[in-house]
Amino acid sequence: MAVRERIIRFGENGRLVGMLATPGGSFASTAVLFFNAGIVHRVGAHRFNVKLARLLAARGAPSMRFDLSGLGDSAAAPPGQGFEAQAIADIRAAIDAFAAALARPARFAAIGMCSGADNAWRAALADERLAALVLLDPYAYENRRAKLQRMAAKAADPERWGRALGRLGRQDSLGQRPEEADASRPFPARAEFGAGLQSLTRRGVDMLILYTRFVEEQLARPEHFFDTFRDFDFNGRIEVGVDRGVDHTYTELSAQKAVFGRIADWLLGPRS
Amino acid sequence: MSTAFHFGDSARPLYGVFHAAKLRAGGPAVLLCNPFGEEAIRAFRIYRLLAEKLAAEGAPTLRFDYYATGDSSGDCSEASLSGFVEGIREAHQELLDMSGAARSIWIGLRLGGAAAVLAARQSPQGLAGLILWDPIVTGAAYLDELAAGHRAAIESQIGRPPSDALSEAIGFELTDEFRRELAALNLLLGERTARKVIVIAGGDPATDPALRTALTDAGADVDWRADLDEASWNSDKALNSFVVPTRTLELIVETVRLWR
Repeated sequence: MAVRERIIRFGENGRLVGMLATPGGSFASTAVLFFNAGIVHRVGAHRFNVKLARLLAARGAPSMRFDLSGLGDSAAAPPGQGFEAQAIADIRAAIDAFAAALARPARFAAIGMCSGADNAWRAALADERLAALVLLDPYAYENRRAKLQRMAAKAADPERWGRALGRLGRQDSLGQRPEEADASRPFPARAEFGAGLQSLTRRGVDMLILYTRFVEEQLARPEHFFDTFRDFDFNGRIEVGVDRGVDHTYTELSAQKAVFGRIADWLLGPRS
Repeated sequence: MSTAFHFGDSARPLYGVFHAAKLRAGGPAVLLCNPFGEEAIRAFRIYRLLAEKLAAEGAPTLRFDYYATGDSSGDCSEASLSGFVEGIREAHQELLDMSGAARSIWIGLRLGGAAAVLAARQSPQGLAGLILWDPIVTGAAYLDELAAGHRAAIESQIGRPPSDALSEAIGFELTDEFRRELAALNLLLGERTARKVIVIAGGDPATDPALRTALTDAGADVDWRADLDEASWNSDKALNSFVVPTRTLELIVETVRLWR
């Protein structure tokens, strides 16, 4: 199926820039928004968003990737709002523009990596039109079981100490060490994040949460996530994956292919 | 004011952003030629800032994505050096049409510098000259650099060697054809290129100084600048910060402003 792309300008005075990708044939009911990861422009790390947008369009799902105020090709916002509030306002404007461009009913989903996942979570709380979220390395909190397992494994394998020391200088390809990411990426309290997720699931929002090696100090298996939030009920609407064999931005092409397939299948159902 | 648009062959449209300016009488327009892969991602903000500065100084400026890169059409597996060269020629013509300028300066960063030199060998009408910023000089050394960079990225982030260090480079495909083109790239062979060339050689690894001789021998008037002592734009850390190579941008804007 051929994919069509066109540029869209929206927001106040058209200062925000996005790219619509639409299927050449029939449309799926799900329409997807891509958010910036960090300050990388809308194509995404390793062109992640372009590749996935075209794959989704080939399977019938239209998408819109765009730049928040001051990022990519979008102009800066007038002063006055904090970054988070401005991001939410930009996302609302993006959904407005996307809905108008589609001119058909749609179930809106958002895909965000790192800070893009943070924005997706906040935007979904603020805008009920978002009905599905794909969160790639969103906030992660240390889990007691993960910590115990990690300590036990380290005690049993002295070589791990050396590898752990080696990680001290590690950066991900968005230019952050995990702990630096935490410093420049203020985390809500665990209870606040959990309550937000719970309220979204009560509203009927479905979520696919995928973690990578980036958060290995916090959790190593999906059950660690659910244990961390054991005092919340997610109504069976959150699916969690943890792949410790891939990095924060899915640098290897094999990792990209696998995550693209998983996201597309989750959003659109397995390819028949 | 900038305008985002598609241009070129409708079967394989390219994405561009034109920064309009009140053209100085007889003044040149400017075409920005991207580096490849991860470096293009890292250079995006710097190019936007540079384009805005150049336009503010009266130089209409076009930045664009080559076929199979960025927001342009094409799958990453279709990226090629020859495609980049063709893209530069298409974008040059588009820039002259949009700006009304009679000539344009091409600014090429890293592999974009090499692609600009190759495109200039085809003697396009209206080419005023080249500004090569940390240009790739020999493709063989560049391939080694890409492989080492990919290996380092995977080992530091995943703690194991990459599954494929030959056909991918930090998230982007390197097809056999693209690799063959890069292996054959050698700007030291001294073929004819633009008459006027400025080389900004402040990066790491340093630009091979033999390029200066090769360009001069090929008939170019070469201004070699290796003294800017600039903070690197090309690092993991710079990617997620607002690091800007200020002195380099100032030099480029001043060079364009005084271009004769």
